[in-house]
Amino acid sequence: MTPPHETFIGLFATAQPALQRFVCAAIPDFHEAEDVLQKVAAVLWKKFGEYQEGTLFQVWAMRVAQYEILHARRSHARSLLIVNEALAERAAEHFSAFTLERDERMQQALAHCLEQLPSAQGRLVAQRYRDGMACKTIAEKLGRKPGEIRTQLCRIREKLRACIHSRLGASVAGGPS
Amino acid sequence: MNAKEKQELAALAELGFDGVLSASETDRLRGILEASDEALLAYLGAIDLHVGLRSFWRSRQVPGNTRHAAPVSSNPAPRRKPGTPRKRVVKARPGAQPKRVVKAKPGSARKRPMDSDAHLKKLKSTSNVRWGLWTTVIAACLVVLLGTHAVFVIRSISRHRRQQPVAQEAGVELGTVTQASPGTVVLRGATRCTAGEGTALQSGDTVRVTPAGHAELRYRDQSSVALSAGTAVRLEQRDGAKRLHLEAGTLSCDVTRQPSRKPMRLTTAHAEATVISTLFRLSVEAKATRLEVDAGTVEFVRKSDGAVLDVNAGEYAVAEPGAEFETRPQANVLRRDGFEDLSPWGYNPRDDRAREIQYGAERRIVRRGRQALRLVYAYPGNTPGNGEQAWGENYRYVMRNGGIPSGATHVRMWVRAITGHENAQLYVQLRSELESWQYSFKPGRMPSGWHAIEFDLNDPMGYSGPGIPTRWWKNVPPMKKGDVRLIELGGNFADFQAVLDDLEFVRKAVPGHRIPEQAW
Repeated sequence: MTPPHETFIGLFATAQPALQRFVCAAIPDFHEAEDVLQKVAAVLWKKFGEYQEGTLFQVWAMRVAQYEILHARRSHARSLLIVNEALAERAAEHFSAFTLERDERMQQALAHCLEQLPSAQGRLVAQRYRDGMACKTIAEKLGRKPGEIRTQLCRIREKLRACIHSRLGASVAGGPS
Repeated sequence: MNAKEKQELAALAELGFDGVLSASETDRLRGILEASDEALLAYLGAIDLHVGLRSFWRSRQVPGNTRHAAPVSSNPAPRRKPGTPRKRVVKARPGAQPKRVVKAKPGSARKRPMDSDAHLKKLKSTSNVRWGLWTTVIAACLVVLLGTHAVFVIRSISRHRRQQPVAQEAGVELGTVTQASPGTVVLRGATRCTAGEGTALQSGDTVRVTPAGHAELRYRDQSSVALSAGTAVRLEQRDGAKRLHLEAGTLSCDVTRQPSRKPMRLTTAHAEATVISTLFRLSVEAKATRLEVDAGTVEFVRKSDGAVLDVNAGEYAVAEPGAEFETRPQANVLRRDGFEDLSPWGYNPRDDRAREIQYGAERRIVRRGRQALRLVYAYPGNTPGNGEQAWGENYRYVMRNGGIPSGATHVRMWVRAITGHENAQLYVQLRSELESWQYSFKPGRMPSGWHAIEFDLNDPMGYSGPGIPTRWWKNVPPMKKGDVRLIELGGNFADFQAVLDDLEFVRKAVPGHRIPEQAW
């Protein structure tokens, strides 16, 4: 019989892309979102005994994450965006369908679409996401305003989204950026 | 959500991703998300990609994870495997002497080091006489070896001097910037300065133009180089000859006569062009470099196999590994509207409906000349994903008088999409008194950069733009080319912004700027 921690790791890995998106939607700041995601993982492990085998782990995990996020109001009062229960429900519902397989397909499409970007735009995306540089830092480096960098990133993501959309069909949700 | 709200949502989301959302901005964003379902979905879509990008780079940073190849390639040229001999094959032109194939000598194998213990034991057991003999032999060998080595080194140095390209003359003043849009920069070593009119350029400088900008450089001999949006180019001078490396984008050159022994040389990741005196355009894409020559002749070398072509005036060639490397005639342009003068363009005077399509001069994003045409289609009833409206309902256009010149086979236009919903359609409509031919394409699905969109005038209502060719009506009205009186540029179905340049009627089909294949 597989040890419970191995089962948990396997199940958590499949649910992680959805959980990550859900937590990030509630707390847009990536660093804070990661802290919360770690807490969610710890709680899930702690409560893993309550999980009923045969039911959808992702749905259960999203419910736990939803609960944890709503309880993170005190510690993340400033950065917590989704405080409304109905809104959290909608967001959780939206990402519940996000599977590991879809994440992998999206990553493959992203690899292709990033290749299509002009080199200057590719560099900007890499600085922001690969190097984890804040827009302000990039702006200082390039001698530009942070607002300009944000606008440009927004446009690049719009372009990437359209590209991914065209490669994956209509499975990626639309968005402002 | 209207366009303004969408913009606000995008800006607030971006601040949130950056972790700099203030309390009031958080409240505002929260308010937007709670007020509209559409806004929430749009926001969640943005989150999806934001997290996706983070995960993408993170997965690439994990040691040993090779799931994704490098996605942002700056130099796609094939690399020589370490250890394989360097080889340069040059295809001979007809009648020319075959060029030599140079192969580097394979590296000599190293001697296996002797076991140190055995060697020590052996040395200890030998007598003094034998040791003296050995010393003499070793000394003699050393003298011979040193002598041979000295000859080899001297020969190598002289050969190296012959083969070594002349070092670039750093710091030599080459010319100046004559025009530069805001944001254009000159990189000189570790320093970076904003380029403006009169900025001096030195050998070793790199000029970078913003994705929406342009710049023009002039050498001291009055040769000029125009840089299009998003272009990056390194300027050098070697032994008095101009060298220019195009890292990205497109440039147009008007080169005055260069000394025949010191031609100007332009390089990209895939090709090399050598010019004495000419007018040409060079553009580099991910996998290919395209050269169009308007005057004179340019020697064009494909780097992947060393094949050489002479591209003459009126011809073009594309250097792409594995593809055919040949000169082709450029289209014979019979009539061109470069949108330098927008006075012929206007709205339909009989159409009193709201002008949901706006047009104006675009001077920053220009493919050729001083200006282009910016077209903005924003219909209040359009919402993302609503491309289901009845045909023609929201069609809006700007128009000018003009017919099809006799002999024209195609109408062609250069387009650069700025924004666009995937369902948005941009139309070129050729209209007679009663009927019209309509050609359309989707700017929201176009890859970035300039693209030539070309329509066959003998195949009205079809289109050969990116995507799946579509025929809207099977029974095309029997309008003749000679009946056309008006040219319209319009939009429908969903919002877009695009810059158009060089609307041309051409005599023969020429594949335009190659559009990368995509699964639409």
